[in-house]
Amino acid sequence: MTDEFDDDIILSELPDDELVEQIFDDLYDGLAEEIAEGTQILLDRGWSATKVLEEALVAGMTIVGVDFRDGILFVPEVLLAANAMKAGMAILKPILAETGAKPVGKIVVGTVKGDIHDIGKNLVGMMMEGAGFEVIDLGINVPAETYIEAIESNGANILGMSALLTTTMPYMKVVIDTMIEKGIRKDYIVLVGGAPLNEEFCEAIGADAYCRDAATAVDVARELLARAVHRN
Amino acid sequence: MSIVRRGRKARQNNPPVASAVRAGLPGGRYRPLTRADEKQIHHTILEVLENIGMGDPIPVVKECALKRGCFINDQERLCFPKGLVEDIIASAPGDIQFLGRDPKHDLEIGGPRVHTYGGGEAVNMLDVGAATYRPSTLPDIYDAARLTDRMEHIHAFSRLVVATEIENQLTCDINTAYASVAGTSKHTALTFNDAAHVQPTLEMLYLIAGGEDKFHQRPFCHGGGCPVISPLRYGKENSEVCVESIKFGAPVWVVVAPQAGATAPAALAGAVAQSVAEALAALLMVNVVEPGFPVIVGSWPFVSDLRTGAFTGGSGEEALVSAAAAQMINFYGLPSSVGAGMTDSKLPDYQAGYEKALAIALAAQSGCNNVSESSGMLGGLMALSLESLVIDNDLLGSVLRTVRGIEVNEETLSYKVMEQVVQGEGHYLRAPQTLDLMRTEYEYPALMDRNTPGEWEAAGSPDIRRQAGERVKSILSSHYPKYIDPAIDAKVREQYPILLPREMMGVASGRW
Repeated sequence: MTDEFDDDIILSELPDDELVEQIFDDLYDGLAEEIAEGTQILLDRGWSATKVLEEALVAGMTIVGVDFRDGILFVPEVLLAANAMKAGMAILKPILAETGAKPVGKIVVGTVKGDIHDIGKNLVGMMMEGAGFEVIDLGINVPAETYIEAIESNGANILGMSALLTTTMPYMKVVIDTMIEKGIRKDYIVLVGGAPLNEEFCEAIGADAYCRDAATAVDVARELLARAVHRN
Repeated sequence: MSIVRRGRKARQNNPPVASAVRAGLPGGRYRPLTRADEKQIHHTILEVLENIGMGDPIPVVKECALKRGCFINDQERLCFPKGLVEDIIASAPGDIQFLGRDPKHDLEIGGPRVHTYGGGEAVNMLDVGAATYRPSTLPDIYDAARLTDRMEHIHAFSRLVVATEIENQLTCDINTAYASVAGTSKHTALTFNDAAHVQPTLEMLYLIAGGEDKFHQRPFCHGGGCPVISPLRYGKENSEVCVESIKFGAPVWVVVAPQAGATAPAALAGAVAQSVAEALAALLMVNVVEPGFPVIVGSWPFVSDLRTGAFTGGSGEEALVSAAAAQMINFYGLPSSVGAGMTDSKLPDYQAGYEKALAIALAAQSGCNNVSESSGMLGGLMALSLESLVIDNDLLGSVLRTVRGIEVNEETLSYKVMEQVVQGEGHYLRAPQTLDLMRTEYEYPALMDRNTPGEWEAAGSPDIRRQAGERVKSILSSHYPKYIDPAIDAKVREQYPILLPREMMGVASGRW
């Protein structure tokens, strides 16, 4: 059944509504080049970067998210979609910055000092990119000062920390305590995740939310960010 | 630029099926018997059939057998000369078909190809969530058929429970056939209380099929029975049923079930030898009457718990002798069947899970063509649980995955993929190979809990039985297939005493 669909779609010949539908489809299929092309066409037709982001890309990734939740799409497919989203974002990002429009959000992620497990953190990064976030990935074995330097210099909204070991997860509290000492804790949303963590631990160390998986992390980030914007 | 745009809506409306397994995967890697063992058992079987012989053949069988060269020994038992046994084995079809009402359910039975289905005419139901058994009834057969219809790893259907409320046995047999084919389009094995019930049941099936010729073009049911009373004696009624079932024009199933330590030798090798000899005696019975007729050879050695003398369906010994019996029937190149999954546990619990998994896995790995008793049985074949049936479906998927094994070749060894990933993203989650294989290399169970302990607690700490019960209700409250055309159904109801009310056969019944 995969072959009976039109392989020769000329994006530039589609009216806006059909093009947006096609972008939804192409995101769903993880087609990065097509997403970049579609994004550019909408901009050329006078769409604002914010409108392209929200009505085409984010809306398309929302469909992906729903079908992932429902078990129709698997993680590798979502990551492919996220990669396509990233291709669109690469075009929009400079324009959004120029126009002063608010990006979806900026998150710094990293696995804490002493811990070298990174597949979960990578997943979070990829999923966040798929949702339109800008992701600064600090890698593994990250000390407190590196996290703090990164969130400040990048103007991030969110700090995401990961740990897979019961011996390294307490380091998350060290990072948060350092932020408190510097008087910057309240300026950032702090998300934590990793197999041995739970809600209680999150609360005990003073993080904002525990994210049990990458998809949850995206939802939580969106929600907390919306609340923070509302508060401001 | 040509790209494949698969179409989101198409995929949403018809989500791609994720499955690593299929019906008919070749088994046979597990061989509890060596080649030398097979030969010794074969030799013993020939001696048994020629010298000890079978007691109490029905007249037609005796008459045909004597014409073929059998003789009666001084014990008045029917004896099969070795040459005749070998000739009949050689001329009986090894490859047979189970045809579904729907051709997508057709099965090619034979060789080492593994199929999983069936169960054993239990007389009780364990209702969803219940802690006690109740007598099984006709609607239970209909529900079991509907549920089986939706279970991808249960490849065919048989009478899992008996309609105990129907006193008239002809009415019971006809209604069992009706409820079965009304609930599933998978091939269905039928059982008869009396040979005289075969013809009227067949006539109803002709009506349902749209004509006698239509049925015989695609016989979607077959009949058979358990024609041997162990040790080594034919049973009259079931012998007659087996012979009469030739009329289906579809393979006849035979099952023998001698119980080691009680009705078969306590030595496991002897139990296997007797069990296979008896199953061959059933094949011989059908084939002396109708030479070359296909028979599904069910050699089902059972095991006793000698502390009590009771049948035990779930032991390691049971798993072992069943796999050995399947190996022997496959050794003869005949369509094999064993009972596996006959747990002694009364509930779908840990005991049930391990006993079922052990027996089903060994039978499947041995290459058994019909791993029977593998859907929903509990309590040593005394009860059917629909919760167990849906759990078993997952179990069967996992077992079949082990049967499929690991394909080792240059591509699957993945050297290039490793190289690309190590030099690239550093993980395989987005690698093209992962995308290609994620739905075909891995089998995804519907019910097995793979959540984190935290998620599990948040969901109210559900156990598998609760999850299974929800799946049963979800399917049975919505899946009311119309496999019998309404106009034909009206005719069937005019001509036969159908006791399954039509009102029960729709969503509006609200039974689930």
